Amino acid sequence: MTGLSTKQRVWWGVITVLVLVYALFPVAAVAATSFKRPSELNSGTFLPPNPTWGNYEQILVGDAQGLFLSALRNSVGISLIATAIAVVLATLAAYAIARLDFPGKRVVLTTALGVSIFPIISLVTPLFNVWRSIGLYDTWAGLIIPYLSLTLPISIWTLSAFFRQIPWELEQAAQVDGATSWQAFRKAIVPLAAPGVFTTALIAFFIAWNDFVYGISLTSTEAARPVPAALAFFTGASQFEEPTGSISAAAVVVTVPVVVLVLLFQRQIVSGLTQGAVKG
Amino acid sequence: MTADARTEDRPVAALTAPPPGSGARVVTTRGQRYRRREVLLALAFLFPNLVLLGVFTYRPLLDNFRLSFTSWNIASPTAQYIGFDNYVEWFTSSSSQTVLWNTVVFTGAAVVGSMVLGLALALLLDQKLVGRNAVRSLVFAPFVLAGAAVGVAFQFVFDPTFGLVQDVLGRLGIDAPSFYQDPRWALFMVTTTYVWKNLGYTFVIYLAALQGRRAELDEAAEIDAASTWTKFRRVTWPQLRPATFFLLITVLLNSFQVFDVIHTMTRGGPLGDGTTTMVYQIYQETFVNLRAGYGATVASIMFVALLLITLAQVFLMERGRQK
Repeated sequence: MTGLSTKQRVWWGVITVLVLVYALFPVAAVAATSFKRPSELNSGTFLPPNPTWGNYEQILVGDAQGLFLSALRNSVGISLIATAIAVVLATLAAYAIARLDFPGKRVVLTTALGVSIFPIISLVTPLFNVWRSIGLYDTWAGLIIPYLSLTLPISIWTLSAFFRQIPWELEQAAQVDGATSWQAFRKAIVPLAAPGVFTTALIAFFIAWNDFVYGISLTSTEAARPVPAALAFFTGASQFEEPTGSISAAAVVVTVPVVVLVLLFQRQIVSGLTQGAVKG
Repeated sequence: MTADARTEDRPVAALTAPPPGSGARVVTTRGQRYRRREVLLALAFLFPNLVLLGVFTYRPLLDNFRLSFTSWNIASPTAQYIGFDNYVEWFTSSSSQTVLWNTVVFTGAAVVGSMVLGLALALLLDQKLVGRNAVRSLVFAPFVLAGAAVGVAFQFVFDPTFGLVQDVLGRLGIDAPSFYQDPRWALFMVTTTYVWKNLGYTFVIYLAALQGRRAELDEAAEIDAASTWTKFRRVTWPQLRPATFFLLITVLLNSFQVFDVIHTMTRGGPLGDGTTTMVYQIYQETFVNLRAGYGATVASIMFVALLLITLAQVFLMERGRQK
């Protein structure tokens, strides 16, 4: 838009600043705390008087690393595995829904999407009970499985919306031009499907990475406890004795990768979330 | 793939008998024909998904209903059947009223707050100006942050000794309210925190809807010299209706289930149940008080409530669309 008046420019500037303040103040609050020394926590000032890396050293190489680094490893491993499996399974399902003719398609879709209105908390107790008896309690698999049921519905929904928009005739056109069916699929369809699959993977990863209910209920030790659950292990109950500095540093560390992914792939993530929402 | 087999004789197939050796076709009661190969492929592709969802979500949900009729200490291997006692207890106990009230206030404020603010921000940022993508990313980002991390961050915003709020209010000579002692302020605190996180979601959905709207309608309104408000109410708002319904359903489902923010910030307190919502009560009863049967009862009540609310919303949406 060109020909903006000075008044409009000023307004835009003011709006931008307000939005930045709004979005960043909690981040600033936790980041500021993460650079404070223990003695400075109750000094009453918001900014750290003498910034220090101490808290980060504490959780990455110091005393708290046992808890934090294992949680980080669990979170990364569990989320990546769950995302990979969910994307493969959802791709198959979405292909069937978007591309194949079979009886009962509506029932299948309703069955898969209906899950998204189940309160997660109402599945926790029965799962806890079963996991304990078959030995999945406090294991990676014990979290990967519920993460699949958490991510599959939205992945199937997003991917089938993407797949419906793919011009599948291209595949035949390539075959007419002499490509084998595998070549046709790989050269014509895969490049068109890849963005949808990537978007779905991002969304599934965020869901698994951010989960809290399963993470806190189905784990009990460092063997499987993911970062969000580890964060909560210190907070809340004993507000005045908690290792505040370490927690704030841990919160920053767990947030940074997500923010980077958002800044890089905002458009893809949003296009995934808005599939079907706007068209109604 | 199936593409080659797919197109050859579909329209003709209905008129002629299947050519010999072409494989059987499944014929449904409606007389629609399916290719056997396609149906089998679909079955193979859907099977793992449906098994996972069946075994690990539908079955636990039913199991939860069964457990809701028992008295069960989660540490013991056996549950004792007690009929409707848990349900009677929940519907007659006074603490349920507090919990229900907290749930309604939290969910209502979260739905209304994040939708109104999200729409306002989307309208404000629906401009082609420098830096708008960065600004959008920043508003959106909180939605994909872990609720536990957001809870931790807002603890430092609301902290009574070194928090940002008391710092700012202190400079203005105002005493900060006691967010961690006063149940009402505590509820305000967790609700505000969740609205901050969820705003990113309502904002991007509304923004996408705004960008998908028909420009010619806006231009027509501009030619008619309609006021900004009239233009919004008559032209923009009706076009946002599908997005609004979608958000009402999804935001309500999500806000009803918020657990991480409350757990990290208040653990359901102060004064025992100051910020205890139904979800938090379920967790508390099951894993802290070890009354898993009662927890399952509250979970069942919550599931039925969510189901009814969602069905009502879908019904209203369908009726709205027919008008």
